Parts: sequence; C-alpha cells; structure tokens
Amino acid sequence: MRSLLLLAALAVTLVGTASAQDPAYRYETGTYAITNARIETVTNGTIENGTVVIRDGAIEAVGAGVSAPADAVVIDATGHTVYPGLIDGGTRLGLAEIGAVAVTIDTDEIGDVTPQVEALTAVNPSSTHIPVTRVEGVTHAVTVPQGGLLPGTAALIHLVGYSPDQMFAGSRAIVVNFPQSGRRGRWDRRTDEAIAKATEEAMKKLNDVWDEAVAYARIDSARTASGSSAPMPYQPEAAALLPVLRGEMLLMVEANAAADIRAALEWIEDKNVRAVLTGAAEGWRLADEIAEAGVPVITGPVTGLPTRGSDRYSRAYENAALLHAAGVEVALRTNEAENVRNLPFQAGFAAAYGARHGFTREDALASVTIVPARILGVADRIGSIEVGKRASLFVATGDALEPSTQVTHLFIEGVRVPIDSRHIRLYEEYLDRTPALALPGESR
Amino acid sequence: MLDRVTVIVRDGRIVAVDEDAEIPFDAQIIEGDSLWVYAGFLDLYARAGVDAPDAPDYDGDRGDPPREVAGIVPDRDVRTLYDPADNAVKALREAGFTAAHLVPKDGLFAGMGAVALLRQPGRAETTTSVFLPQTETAIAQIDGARGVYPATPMGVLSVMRETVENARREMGSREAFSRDASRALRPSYSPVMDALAPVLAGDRALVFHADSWLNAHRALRVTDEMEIPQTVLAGVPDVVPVLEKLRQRGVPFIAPLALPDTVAADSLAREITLPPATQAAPGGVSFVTDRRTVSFRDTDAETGALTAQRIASVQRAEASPARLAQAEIAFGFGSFDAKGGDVRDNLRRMVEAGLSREDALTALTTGAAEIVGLENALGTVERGKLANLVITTGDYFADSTDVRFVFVEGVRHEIEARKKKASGDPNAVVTATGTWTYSVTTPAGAQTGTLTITGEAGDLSGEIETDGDVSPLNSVTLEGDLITFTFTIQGGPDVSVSGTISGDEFEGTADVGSFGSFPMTATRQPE
Amino acid sequence: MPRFLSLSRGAHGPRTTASRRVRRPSSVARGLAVALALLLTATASPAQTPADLPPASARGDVLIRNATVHTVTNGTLDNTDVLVRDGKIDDIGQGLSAPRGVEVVDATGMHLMPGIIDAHSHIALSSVNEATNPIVAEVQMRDALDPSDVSIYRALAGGTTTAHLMHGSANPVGGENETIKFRWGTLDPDGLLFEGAPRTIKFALGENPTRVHGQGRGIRPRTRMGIEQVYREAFTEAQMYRAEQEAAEREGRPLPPVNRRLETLADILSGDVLVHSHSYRADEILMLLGVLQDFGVDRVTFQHANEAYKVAPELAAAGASASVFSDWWSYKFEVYYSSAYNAAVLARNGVRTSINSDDAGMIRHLYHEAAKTQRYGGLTDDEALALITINPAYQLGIDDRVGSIEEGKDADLALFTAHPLSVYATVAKTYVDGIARFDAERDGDDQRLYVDPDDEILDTSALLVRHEDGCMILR
Repeated sequence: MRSLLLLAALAVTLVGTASAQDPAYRYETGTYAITNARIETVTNGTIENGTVVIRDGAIEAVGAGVSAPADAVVIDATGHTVYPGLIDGGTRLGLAEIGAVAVTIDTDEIGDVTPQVEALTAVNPSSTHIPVTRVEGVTHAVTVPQGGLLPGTAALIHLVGYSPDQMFAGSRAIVVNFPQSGRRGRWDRRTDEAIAKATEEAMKKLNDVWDEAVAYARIDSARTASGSSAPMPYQPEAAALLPVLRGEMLLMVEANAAADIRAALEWIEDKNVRAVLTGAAEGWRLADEIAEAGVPVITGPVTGLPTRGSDRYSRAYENAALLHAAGVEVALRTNEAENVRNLPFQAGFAAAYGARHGFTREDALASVTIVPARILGVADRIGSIEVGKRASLFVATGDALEPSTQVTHLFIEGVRVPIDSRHIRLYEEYLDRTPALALPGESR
Repeated sequence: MLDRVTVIVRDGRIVAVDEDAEIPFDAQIIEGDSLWVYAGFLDLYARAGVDAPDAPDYDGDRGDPPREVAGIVPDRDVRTLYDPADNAVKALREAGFTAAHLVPKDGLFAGMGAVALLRQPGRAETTTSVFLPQTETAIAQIDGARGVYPATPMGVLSVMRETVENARREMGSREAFSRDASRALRPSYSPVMDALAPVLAGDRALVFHADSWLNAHRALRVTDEMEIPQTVLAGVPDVVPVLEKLRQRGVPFIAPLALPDTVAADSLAREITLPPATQAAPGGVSFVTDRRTVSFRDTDAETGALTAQRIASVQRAEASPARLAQAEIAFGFGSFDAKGGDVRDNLRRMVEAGLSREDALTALTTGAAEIVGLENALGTVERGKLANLVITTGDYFADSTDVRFVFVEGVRHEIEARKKKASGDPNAVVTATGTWTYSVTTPAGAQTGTLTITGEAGDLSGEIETDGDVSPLNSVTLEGDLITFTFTIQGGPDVSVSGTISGDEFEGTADVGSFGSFPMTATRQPE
Repeated sequence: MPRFLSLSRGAHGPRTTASRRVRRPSSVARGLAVALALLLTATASPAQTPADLPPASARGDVLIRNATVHTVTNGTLDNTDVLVRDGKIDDIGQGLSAPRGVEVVDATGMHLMPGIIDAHSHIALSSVNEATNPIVAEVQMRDALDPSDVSIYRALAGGTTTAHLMHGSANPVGGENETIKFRWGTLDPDGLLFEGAPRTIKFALGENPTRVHGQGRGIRPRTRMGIEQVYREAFTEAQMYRAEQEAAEREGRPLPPVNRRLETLADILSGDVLVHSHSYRADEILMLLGVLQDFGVDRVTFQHANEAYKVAPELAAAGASASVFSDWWSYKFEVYYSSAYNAAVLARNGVRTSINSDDAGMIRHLYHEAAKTQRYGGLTDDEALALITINPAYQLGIDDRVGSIEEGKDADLALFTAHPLSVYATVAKTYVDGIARFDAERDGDDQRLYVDPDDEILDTSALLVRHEDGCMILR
C-alpha cells in the first residue's frame, strides 16, 4: 500500500516538473470537474468515487452521481482524495520574510496600542513563503501583527493574488495580547512585585483604551442619531475598536499561561465581545472553564514544548484534544511564517496524541478547515466541500495529514494554482545537476 | 566524655586534663561547675576576614586575557588577604570555632589556603603568625571569568587541565636542568608552577570547591584526569548524587555549614488541618506515594508540589552530613559564606536530620583535624595539644545551651550571652491585637515602624510597615504569651518574628534568613 | 543607610491581588496532599532518582515479539521477534523463545526501529558556547553535560536514544562535542557517555561567527573570506606545534609547554577527530572542503548545510556527509535559498545524509522530520529511516554499534504504535542498552530527576515560537 502511494507520489512529482519549467506562475480559471475522487467534505462525510465541479470560482456540484459538465476540464483523480483547503488560524505569513533580517519583518509596529495598523496593508503577495505554503494544501491563513498590547488588525488571506486586497478572504480581527502575569522567560529577572505591577499597569492601559473606545462609540452613535455632519474626533485607536464593540468584528485574545487565560475569560465576559482565545498553550488546565465561557480557541503549535518542566511530555500535543473533549470549539494554528506548510502535520499530531482523549483524525481535519472558518465567520464561504462554497480545495494522493502524501492539484477561490514553488524549482534544478553545468573554471 | 575534670592551660597548650589535677598557683580559675568543655572546632573552608581584591581592569582581547583576569592565581596567598579582626571571624569564634582553613575567593585556581588560629595576633606577633605553618592548600573551583576566556565551565576545566599539565612539564624541565644544565633549557621563573608543584608532588591537597552536585561530578573527574594525589571536595549542598563516587575514591568532603532557609509548609498549609499522611486526600483523588499517579490538572496542587519539592530540597541539604557519616566518608564542616550566627542553628538542623552528635562533633574536631593533617595539634582536649577549647553551659547542640568561653591557643574569649530565643509561657493569657510601634536593632542601626495585629485568637492577621512599605503578616499565631509570625519584605527576604508579650510590651527576635537574626521590641499604642 | 528591613529598595507598590486571593479550601487541601505525597517519596529516596530506573551501567534482557521490524540495513521484516540479551541484540527471527526470566513484550501490530540518533543537539548541557575566542578547540562538551535535563526524557518519548551534543556556532572552532546515550535515570554525567564513540569537533562558518567576532568585537573573522584564513592559520600553527613536539621527543628534549588548543587541532589533522561543521551556503561548504583537503583531512560532516543540495556531487565525490534540517529555512539570510528537498537531493546524489534537530522540541519527533522527505522528494521508507539511524551513526563513527537492527548491535530500540513514518505513530517504549528508559504505560506527570527548587513553575520560554539555529546560545 505504502509503496503504491510512493509510486504515485513520484509520478506526480514528474508531472509537476513539466509545469514548473515555465519561469512564471501561471494561474488558470475555468470550469473543472475532478472525477473518480474520494471526497472528504468535512461537513458531510466522505464520498467515495465522486465528482466535484468547479465553476465561476465556486463549487457547483459535489457527489457520487455527479457527472462532469461538457465544458469542464476533467481532472481524473482516481485513487486520489479531495480536501477543502486548509486554514491556519494564526501566522505571520506575508508579514515576515527573513527572520533575522529586521528590514524584512513587518509584524511589530512601534507603540503598545496600535489596533488601527492593518496586517492586510503589509501582506507581501510576492513573499516566497506563499507558494511554498499553498502547495501543501494550506489555502488560507490568518496573518497576525505581533508585539504590544493591541498590535493591530489581523486578516484572513487566501494564498493567491497580486495585491493584498485580492488576497483578502473576508475576515479581520483586532488582536489583544492579554497582559502576562508571569515571567516572560528565564532571562526575565524582574521581582514578583515588579511583574505584578507591570501586569496591573498593562491591564489598566487595556481597560483605559477600551473605555475610550466605548466613549467614542457612544459619540459616534449619538452623532448618527442626530444626523450631524460634524466630523468625528480623530481617534484612530478607538475607531479601529468600534466594529469590535458593535459585535461586527472578532477580537483575538492571546493568552497562554493558565492564570492569564482565566483572567482573559473574565475580561471577555466583562466586555461582552465576540472573542476567540488564541495560543491557549495551557488551555487544557482549565478546559472546562473555557468550555463554560463558550469562547472558541485557536491553539498551536501542536508540536510546541510543554510549558512546565513538570508537565507530561505530551501535554502540548494533547492540548487541542483535551480542550475538544471538554466541549471547546478548537482550531489550530502554526504560529509560523515560513513553515505554515506544516499545518496538516500539526493536525496529524493532534490526532495521534488526541486519540486517547477521543479526538479523531476527522476532528483534527475539522480543526484546520471548518472550525477556523466558523470561528472567523466565513464558514458560508470556505472550510468544507459543499455546493455554493468558494472552490478552495486540493487533490492529494492520500491522507492529507500524512507526510508521505503528495498534493497534486490545487484550487484557491476557483483559481487553479500550479504545484510550484521556489523549493520545488530548486529541487528540480539540483536533483541531477552535474551534466547540466560542469564548467571547469580557471585555476587560482 | 569525662565528668568533673579540670583542664589546665598554660602558654597556649593543654598541660593537664585530669580529675584531680593540681591547679597551679598562678592560674586563673574558671569554675566549671556544670560547664562543658569541648575541643575547639575547626572550620575547613572559611572566607571570613578574607579580602577579595577587585579583578584588575582589563579591556584587551577577551579571548586571551592575562592569567590574573582569567582566574589562574594559584600563587595568591590567603595569608596576605586575611584580617583577623574582622567581625565575621569573631562570629565564627563565638560559634565555637578556634581554627579555620581560610581560602581566597575568586578564580579557577583561586590561590593558596592555610589554617589559622582564630585569634588576634599578640602584640609581639606579625599578622601572619596566627597561621599554622605547612597547612597550605591549593583552591580550585569551576569559576568562569566574566566575559573573558575562560567564561564557561568547559573553558575553566580545559584551562585547569592545561595549567596542570604545563606545571608538570616545567617540573620536568627544572629537574632536567638541575641534573645536567648543559643539556636542558634554562627553566624560567613560574609562580604558577611553584604554587602547583607541591600539589602535584602530593605534598599539598587540592581543595576543589563545587557549588552543585553537577560541578562535583566534574570536579572529581577532572582531578582524576589530572592525577591529583590528594583531592578534597568542598561545598556541595546536596551531596547525595555524588556520595558513591566520593566513597569509591576515598575523597574527603567539606560540608557547607550554610543551609537553605527552611520552607514552611506555607500558605497552603495554614488554613487547613493536615490529613494524616496515610489517608487518601480529599477531593476523591488518591495521592499515593507513587508520584506518577499525581495529575497536575489543578494548579494549586502543582504549587503544593513545588513547595514540597522545595521542602525536600532543604531536607536533602540538612541530611547531607548524616549521609556522609553513614557512608563513612571522612568529612568536616566549612562555613563558606554562612553567617557565624547561623552556624549553631544549622548544625542543630543537621543533627535533627539524622546526624549523630558524635559524628557532628568528630566532623568539627578530630575528623576535620585529620583532613588537614593537624590531628597532633588540634581536635581533642588532650595534654600537649593547642589550648583550643569551647566552654558551654551544656550540650553544644541543644538549643538552650550558650557558649560561654572560647580559648584559642590559650587566649580566653568570653562570649556575651546571646539573646534568648523566646520560648514563652504556654499558660499566660495575653492579647496581641492592636497597633504596635516596633524597633529592630541591626548592626546598621535601629529600624522602627508600625505593626498592626487584628482578628481574634486563632485567626490573627495583620500588617507591618517597613521603610514605608506595608507587608501583610503570615502565619500569625499566639500560644500563651508567645507570638510568632512571618512576612516578606517587598522584593526582599522573608522575615520570621517570634517573641513574648507581657502587658503592652513585646520582646523577641526577627530572623532575616541569611542576613542574620536581630533583637526586636515593640510597644502597644494606647487605643 | 542600609538597614535590614530596607533590603528591597526599588520594589514598591501594593502586593498583587492574586497573591492575596483566598484559595478554595478543597484545592488547598489537594495541593497539600500532593505536597505531602511528594514529600514522602522525596524522603524515601533523597536523590529524587526514581527507584525504578536502573543505573546507567545496567544492560537489559527482553524479547520483543511479533513486531514489524524496520532493520534499516536489511529491509523490513513482518511478524518478527527480536531478542535482547545483556543490552545487545542477540537474535532476530520468528518464533523465538524467551530464555528463563526474560521479559516478553507482545508487539503485535507495532513497529520496531533502531533508536533514533540525533547528530546535532544542545540539550542536557549547562553551557554551549565559549564565545570569548574564535578558536577554542580545547573546550569539551563532556565538561558541560547535565544528565538531569528533562529534555532527555522527552526525547526518549520520541524514540531518540543517542545524541551528538555539540558546541554552539559562535566560533569557527567551537570545541569537542560529545556523543551520548539517553540513559535517563542517572545523575552522573559520565553515565551518559557513549563509550568508544570517536572524538568529534564543532566548526562554524558564515553569519554566526562573523556576527559574534567580526561585527560584535571587531576581530577576525568578519567575512567568509576571513573564516577561511582563520582555519588555514590555525591548522598551520597546529602543524608547527606538532612538529616541534615530535622533534623534542625525537631528540629526547623536555617537551615544550602543552597547548591543548593546538593539540586538538593537530589531532584533527592526524584524523583522530571528526569534523562537524555548522554551514549553510554552498560556497562556504566548498571552501571548507578545500581547506580540509589541503590539510589532508578527509572525514567531514556539514551540519545544517541548507545549501548542500547545490553541491551534492562535490560532497559525494569528497565522501563528505551532510546533517540537515527537514524543512527549516528563511530564519536568516543564509538559509533563504533553501529547499525542503535538500535531504532528498543529497540522498539521491549519494551523499550520506542525516536529519537532525538542533532543538529540544524537534528532537522529540525526528521520525516525523524524516517522514517529510517522503513528501519532499519521495524517499523510500528505508531511505527516510536511514536519515535518523544508520546515517547519523556513520557520521558520528558509531555505526558498528547502533543505527540498525542487527545481531550484535546495541539494543537501542524504539517501539512505535504505527509505522514510524506515519503522522499517527506514537512511541510505546524506547530501549537503551535493552533497558526501557521510556515506557508510555509508566509515563506520568513530573518526570524530572532532580528538581531545582528555585525554578519557576511555568517555563514561558516554551511559549515563544521562532525558529533559529539553536547554536547561538551565548553561554
């Protein structure tokens, strides 16, 4: 069985070569029928030997009895499986290019409170990371500003497009890095009192910003009610928070230590906002409380280290499963930039170690497809293979979460995207390099 | 142990120990009725009174600093750095120490140690005359230089190996030169070699100070590799992980007299009744002693576990000397950076942790003397030995005992009776509540402030003002007239206070961990 | 006027509400009960070494029955038994019977592979970089081992049994590394040593040493040009040193002073020490190959070597090895032109290649990192498994002892619940010298061997996720 898959994988790689010799990425649009496929719809079970029809960027038909329209380009996916595109709930994709080269990093703006800065503004559509990521089946990612208390507005992007706006996938969220009550690391030598004081100050700052925004919202409502045409005061921070206050935008609240998560839950309840908890590395410690609060979680990386020396080796692997078992809606994230492509494997690890807590492979797949789509409010458009949804999906030689599987075809928003990236091109150039270039050089 | 004996001291020597010794006419007589006489104690690793000269300024190549900056100073002589009048020396003496192996502080080869008698030099003597001759040691430690080579443990050990190897080679060169000068290179002056040569020849011990069990393993291996004939290991707080190696190699050990502060079974414990250890824990979870079954879903449980681990760590340190004695490893005690005033309390804790009084006494006297090769001069109350004596009101290890006199080479030091630790009258009826003005007497002057105690008997709480900050009091208990409580100075050490209340007056002590213990008084303000 | 109650100058302000919060009695009681339980255990065995972990010198006996056995060197054997006697693989076959007293493990449905070998790690160390000098050949990882690092246990839980503990990459020559076995349970650093493993040394090229020394301190090397000369000068000096020494010996003169730095460099030149060089770019890899060839050194492994795929034919021709990341890239400029297909290109070009972790997190799932080469380059199972077993064993010079399941080899084995290259696989048991040093059934909270009471409960460093090579810890 495995060797068959490998043969298939090799064959696919060779097919990929042909398209990749073209120096440019060629995107195609049209009507497609993926036939004879196993289809993991995520929301409606698995269809054996079925067909997916893509037209005008959307899924037109799905099913075993569906036949390919006459005008469709047919992709025979015999022995292959179709999956909805994977969604990473938290990344730095497009904002960070080369970790150690500061001028290529656009994640951290100056200032502790900058909710008005928009990740989408700085997403680099030409980032090398984007093709590298999408060819592994990751079609969408939330890209998140970092650092500070309110570092900016995160955006859900799909991984094809020539401009940030083209890449925008319909969901934005204000990010709160909830004040940390603990030490930031071994290097953090502050006294307990200094830490407590800093936490208190940060909490006060957060609440002050919030109060300002509430006041701003009241003025804005009163102004609208009065029909006044007087301009609103220029308060970009408050203005950015307005949609959150009105329940029109999601708040992403990053908290990881148990105590911080508990405080964050109380704060979320107090402010009565639509929020998602992100990070939640120690979420398993208070899974019941999170479930009771009804706040969904985007957690990861699954392969992170346990947060405490006394923790079982497997705690980080199991976190998603333990939250899920308590009834929390859980999506995954890589919290990565260049290696967002590992998202399917992160889901695989969550399943491998979650099995003992009843977290299945299907749960894991949902945590990188429909669940993040729901949390981000875009489940009507992406996250599963259903008629009417945008055609963001991929064809793979086998289980999408297994490393041995190859992605053979990729559609994002109905656009057929070539299986091509700089990594693949370098592979093709160098796999059998010698005969191509054997220049002697002059001796020194 | 002898009862009702007379000890006669003349010219710094013990001249008689006998039941009916004839008292010379010119002797001063100390009526020993009910007093106990011990041989003076020997501190095997003392930094008391030893000056630590500042490292020379250096801003040259970090990779190749001069040896003084790198810490290769085996030629540095503790006798040139010692001040016998230092208060720390006095504190050691008051704890019963009459002699000490004094050591220099910094560097990987930190210098030469030597044994001194803990008295002031006489008028006709030089400063160095309190040192006993031929007691030199070489001090080694895994102490990296700051920001220059060698900065890490691995750098330090590498430099040690090379330094020792080269000292050997130079010894060889000198020998060759003295045999036949015509065939050998002229050896050059090398203070490093001169200092290490006796160690390599087996005439001088290498005392290796290791501050952790991990460094102890490293120290034992590197001394093996360097083929050091006589190694003494010093300083590891928890010796158990290295015990077997010490035993196998026959390496003597110098146990630190400093102990970590005791950890109270803490705030978690205060509000509840302790369940018997055998009983299943409340909450339906059975916490059997196999820790693998414990599940840390509850962070309070985890905090409790960490407290328990802290307690266990303190207990390991307390039990270390007992384990050494059990394993029959030759050992003595060293004060290291312990405060003289804490030494007796710490010894008592070690005895409570299983060290027999006999073994403790041996380690303080004869055992220690043997390790430094001074068993002929020190360690026993015996005719002919140096008149180093400790005279107490009872068993040295009993809490109630006072050290009354310490003789160092016949020089008498009378010890001021220490402030009694409050023991209280369990039947007295007093109240503690109210606002008090307190005063703590420290070497740096008096500290005063307000202390407020509220609540009912059995449920007391309060706060204390220190230097403008207010700290809550913990574990406030009142039993009879004895009140105890603890508090934490903002960002500073924990303080535990105990004392007795009589009317509106409080008298007791404030114990500030390693900073020492200080008298404290307080007066209740009228309502 | 320092007064004793004023020791905390600078820390003012009210205490936190958290510390004042009244604890719920039930959890308080539970906390204390745990405290007491631990206390009892601690008192019973003061060293905190769990009594059920045998000493480092122990060698085990076990019959693992009916497993799918991935020998790596002799293919995959279905429904096969492996008998371990005295810490060695004694017999491999079907229907083996257990000698009297030998434990039998039913491994039906499970997969047995050789213990995973990590050719590049910095766990279990109390210092990593003696960054004060560009050349510190003389310092040794052996002096920095910390057998109580819980990372060892966590690595065992991922099937890893041996690691090559390396110096950091602050210096062109960082010092001698140490190959260890994960004999978790001992507090004696020597208990971890892989007896008989050859000496190896850490070199480092590129951004890290030029940053630390050239940019940081204004001394050579500041460029890749400078790095080449640093090596040439050091090797030349070592040659002169060795010649002088040999002359003294020949002529019966007393030996000149020893210089352990030059001594070690000279040992490299005489082939007694294997070179493992941190490297990324293709050009610097070729540079070092050239320098080593000029000085007659023929055994080298390029560590990280993100661009090794570009010079795979040259590496193959020189017999040089590569030990690489599965997919890390783009965390610094010199890894921007990387490809996740690196390992596959190298393997297919005949370069002895391993996949390493360089990281306390990744060392727990090297089997998964190896599996990624099936996605990125379609390696076969045996090719992929070789990347974390026999190939790193070869690079460390211990392939006669470990790295495959063969009779006579050390019984360092990892038993997986599924095919080890499957993402759904977890480790059931990990054996070192035939002793189960990890057993999922006996796992529990707090597996630390020795607890530093000053440690924080929460290790927030685990919450940060940014890749970089783990080589730049400046301590």
